[in-house]
Amino acid sequence: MFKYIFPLYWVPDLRVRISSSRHYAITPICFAIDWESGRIVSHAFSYGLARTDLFGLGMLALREKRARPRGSNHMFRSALGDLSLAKRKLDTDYATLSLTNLRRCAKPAIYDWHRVGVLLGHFFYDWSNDFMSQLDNFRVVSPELLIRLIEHMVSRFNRLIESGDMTFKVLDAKRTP
Amino acid sequence: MFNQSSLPEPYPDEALSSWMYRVREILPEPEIRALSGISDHDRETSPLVAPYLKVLGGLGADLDFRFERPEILAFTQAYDLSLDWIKSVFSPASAKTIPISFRSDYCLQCMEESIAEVGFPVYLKSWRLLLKPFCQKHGCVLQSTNAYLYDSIDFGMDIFEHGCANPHELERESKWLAKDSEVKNLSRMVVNRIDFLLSQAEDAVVHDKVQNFVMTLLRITLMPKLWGNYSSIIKFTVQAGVDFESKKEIPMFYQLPLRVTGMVRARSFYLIGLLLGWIDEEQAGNARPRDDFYLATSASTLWRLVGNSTRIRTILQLYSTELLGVSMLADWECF
Repeated sequence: MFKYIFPLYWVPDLRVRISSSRHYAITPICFAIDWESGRIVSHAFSYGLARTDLFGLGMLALREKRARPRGSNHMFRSALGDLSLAKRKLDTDYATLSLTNLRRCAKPAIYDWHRVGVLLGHFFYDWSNDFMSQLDNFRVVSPELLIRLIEHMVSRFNRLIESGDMTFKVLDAKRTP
Repeated sequence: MFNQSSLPEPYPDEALSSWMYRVREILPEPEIRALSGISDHDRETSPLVAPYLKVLGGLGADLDFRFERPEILAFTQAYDLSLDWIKSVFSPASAKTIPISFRSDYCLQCMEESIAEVGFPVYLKSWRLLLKPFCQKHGCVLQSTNAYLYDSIDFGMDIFEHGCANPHELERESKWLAKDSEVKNLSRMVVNRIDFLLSQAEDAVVHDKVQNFVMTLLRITLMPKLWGNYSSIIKFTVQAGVDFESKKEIPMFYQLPLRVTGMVRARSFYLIGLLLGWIDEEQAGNARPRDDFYLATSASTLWRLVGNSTRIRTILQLYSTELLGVSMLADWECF
């Protein structure tokens, strides 16, 4: 069970090609992070949904995964919203922590979120030879490639957290007086 | 029918696309044989063109290292070759390679030698290794073509012909290299030392970390803040169209090393040598060309220009190992 899960938003500078539209979408990604371990437990992105709705989507994906571990995990991972909103200019490649959906509670640890954002950006843009050979453009990707990129990024981030090679905890709140 | 013994031997270090082209030139498949006998005008309207293109592969496909491509599978079937043999001869080892869209580097001397030996300007796979901007055989900095030839099926032949047809480009590069020769000698020393370190890493995880640590240093040395009067670096990016050029700082940080020419990467290794403390200030001062006032000669200058960046600190710490790590960086504590 997770005690505290909170959203971290990150918007890649890459645009996504939408087949039903001639436009390219900007896709904010919401990472649902377990405050206790620092792992990403779910994520969601959309084409034009409000950022705050993404957290709900990510949580739905997490519940779905827990209810049907062998089922498709992609069901709630992305959603089509108002495409005109997906063209608005946003601050890209920048992580934002949101505490609006959290209950008032004692946090088990305090993290350096700026460094977490740096690592997410690194894992997003540090493309493998295999991935690059499938790109026909470095500024626009297909929705399928975006999904692969995000899943790869989440897997590398969680492996790093689990290995203990790097910690983002700046303070363990339980141990502070 | 063809068999392996009847095909030309791959040239040492030859890229698969180059060998495939040579094989087809010497022992063409029926479609190619039929097309070679007709005029250019008839060829344009010939129903054989479509299968010809299908056999040779789509433009822009990476036929050097993507062995599961349908064009390569079709080639192995047509010439009765095993894919395992192809992989064993043409694999690039576990090295970072330059994407097909940005391939442009070559060694003219190697090409001339291969013409003398096999009658073709052979294209070598080591010219696509990101961390090796020097020719493996002659030690010279790889030259780069800025023509849009990267997706050519006979890339080796095309860049050779382009180079011969545009001697002024070769002369311009030669002048830059002659001016910078001492700096390039130091760069070569750094590349060789990194190569040695990578060969010492027996564990695959450590090998990858060392490689990524060097990649991060390469990215740092190509940051616009460090260009100094080398803003002419822009002139030496590989021409691959606006689709490949991001203007944002973070995507640029990751993509620029892939897009610059061998000459620019070679110069970056000099700066990496300063950062690692492998080149001291006296050596750097002696090597710096007289009119290159802004070329850094110390690590502290470079760190000062980069500023206090959490991004750089975090990524370098991520890839630190006992073989190569932040503790070995000169003036790291001032950063």
